[in-house]
Amino acid sequence: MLSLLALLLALALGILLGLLTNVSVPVGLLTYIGVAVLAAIDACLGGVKASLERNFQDNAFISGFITNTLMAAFIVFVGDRIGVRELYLAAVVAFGTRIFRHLGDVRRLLFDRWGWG
Amino acid sequence: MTTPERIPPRDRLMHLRDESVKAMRASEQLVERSFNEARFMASLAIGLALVGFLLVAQMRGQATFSSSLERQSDQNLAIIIEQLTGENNMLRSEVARLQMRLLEAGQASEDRTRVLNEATRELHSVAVIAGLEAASGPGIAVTVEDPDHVLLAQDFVRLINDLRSGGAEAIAINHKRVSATSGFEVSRGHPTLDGTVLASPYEIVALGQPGNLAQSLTMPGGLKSTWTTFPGVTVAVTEENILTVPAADIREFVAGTPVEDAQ
Amino acid sequence: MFRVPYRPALLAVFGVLGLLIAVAFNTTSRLAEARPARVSSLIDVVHSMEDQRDELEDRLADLRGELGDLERKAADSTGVSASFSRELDRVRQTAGLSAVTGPGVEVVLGDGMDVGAGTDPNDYLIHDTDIAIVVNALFVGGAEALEVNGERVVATTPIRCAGTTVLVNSSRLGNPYVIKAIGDPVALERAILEDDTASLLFTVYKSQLGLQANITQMNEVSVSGYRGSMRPQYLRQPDGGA
Repeated sequence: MLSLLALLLALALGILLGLLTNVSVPVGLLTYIGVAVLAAIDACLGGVKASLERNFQDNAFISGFITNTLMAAFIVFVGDRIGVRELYLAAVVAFGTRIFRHLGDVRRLLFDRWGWG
Repeated sequence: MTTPERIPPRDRLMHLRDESVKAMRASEQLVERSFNEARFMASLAIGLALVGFLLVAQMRGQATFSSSLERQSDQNLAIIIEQLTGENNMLRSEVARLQMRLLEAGQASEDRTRVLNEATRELHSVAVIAGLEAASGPGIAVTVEDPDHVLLAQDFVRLINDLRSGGAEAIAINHKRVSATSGFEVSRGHPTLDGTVLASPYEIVALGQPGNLAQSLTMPGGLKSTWTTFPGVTVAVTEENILTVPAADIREFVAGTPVEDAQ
Repeated sequence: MFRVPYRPALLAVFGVLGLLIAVAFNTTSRLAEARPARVSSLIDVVHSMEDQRDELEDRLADLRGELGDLERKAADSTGVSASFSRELDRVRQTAGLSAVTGPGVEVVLGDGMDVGAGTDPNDYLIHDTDIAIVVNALFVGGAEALEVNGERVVATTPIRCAGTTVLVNSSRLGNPYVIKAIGDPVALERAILEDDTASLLFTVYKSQLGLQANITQMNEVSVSGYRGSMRPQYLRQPDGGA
């Protein structure tokens, strides 16, 4: 079993690793990182939700995370190329909507479990 | 900078209204299901307080927006610095000159006439800038043709401001001096300067450093490039070594009373 | 605490998320270090030059006062006192070097509130052109003396902008802009409202963009004297004097 604490610890570990190694990317790639962060948040919440619903599948989870991230990066790239810089907003909006929907689902699932419903 | 076109943000407001109405309906249903009245009021109060706080914060931010240096680009800071450099140099030389005169006046306290002569000369140089007297010197001559009368009062206002930004010490249009209190009007397609009708072609004379004056009009995005896009308008700028402007028709104070020795 | 079945993949993606956040943070903080450092040194230059200017203006005011006294004394003793003083005062008043009081109007222009993304924030700001147009209308209405936020408008005064900053003489003016003009209050107000461009600020833009734009007729308005340097560098009198 895996507690919330362990997930947060993994998150903290990642942040610590990044800060200690002080990795940074060229300024032009900042949008890609931003979109990737959103994709990761989306994947994390989606994963937690699937776990709570007890239909978490490693394959679906990992492939979903990777393809979503790549697609988002591709949209940003295309936007850059065709001179519509704002195209990245499409990815931001899509991930944003998904994140909030996942969050709502997780909340409801937790309420169910704790009998607050 | 030209006057921006202001577009009423009505579409956006309508959209926002529709969105918020939708959101309100959804939250109303939720509230009815899961909260009792008292709880609802409490959270509503907290929400409203938050909205109020954010509004005030936003307004504060707006108030400091326009004058804060932190918001300015390097180029704009450079403009401010350039302006201040010129101003400070002029102030420094005037302070030095006055100190010198004060020193001389103190030494030559017997020689009253010399002090007075010096003072009179000084007075004349201020009178020349103020437009009380005719003036001559180097500068630029600008010929503007506007056969279709498309130039507005605001265009002439910009012309004067651009020339003054370029360091103009005296300006005249069609042999009429532009003073500190000059105003432009356009009535029935004809521009007037202090009530005198100006006819195209406009002959503008500005005295000062010719290169700087010409630059203030001909720089990229400057007045010349803007005006020449107007139908029929042509602008020709020439630098001259010696030009003359007449004295202005200075109105005596009627309403105003000078405050004596404000220093 | 809630528990979910142990999934290494979930744990890994949480780790990746943390890493990405840290990388984004590193990059933006590097950016923040790189840019404002340069800008802030220019800002320091502006501040120090403004201090210098204020100091010089104070010195100049003192010197003008001292010299004026001396000159009046000299005039007294030579018996040309009355005519000289009159001429001195007349020139100083016309040039805008002395403060003036009298009836007039006070015009306040202030930035509106930006509604947000999708609109041009420039629409909600008062620009140098807005101020210049109102100032022009006031002169058309017969204003005898005029200042904007304490800066007297004289024959060499430009009203210009650097970005969103309005410069009058060499002073940076901040929102809101208070224009004080001396003259017939009724004529001054009418001149603004009859000017096609200036009147828009007080009607359409005011109501639609929430710009602050008010004209108040006053029995007494004080307009300060010009503090800067007024010394022709290129002008001569045509007959070769001064």
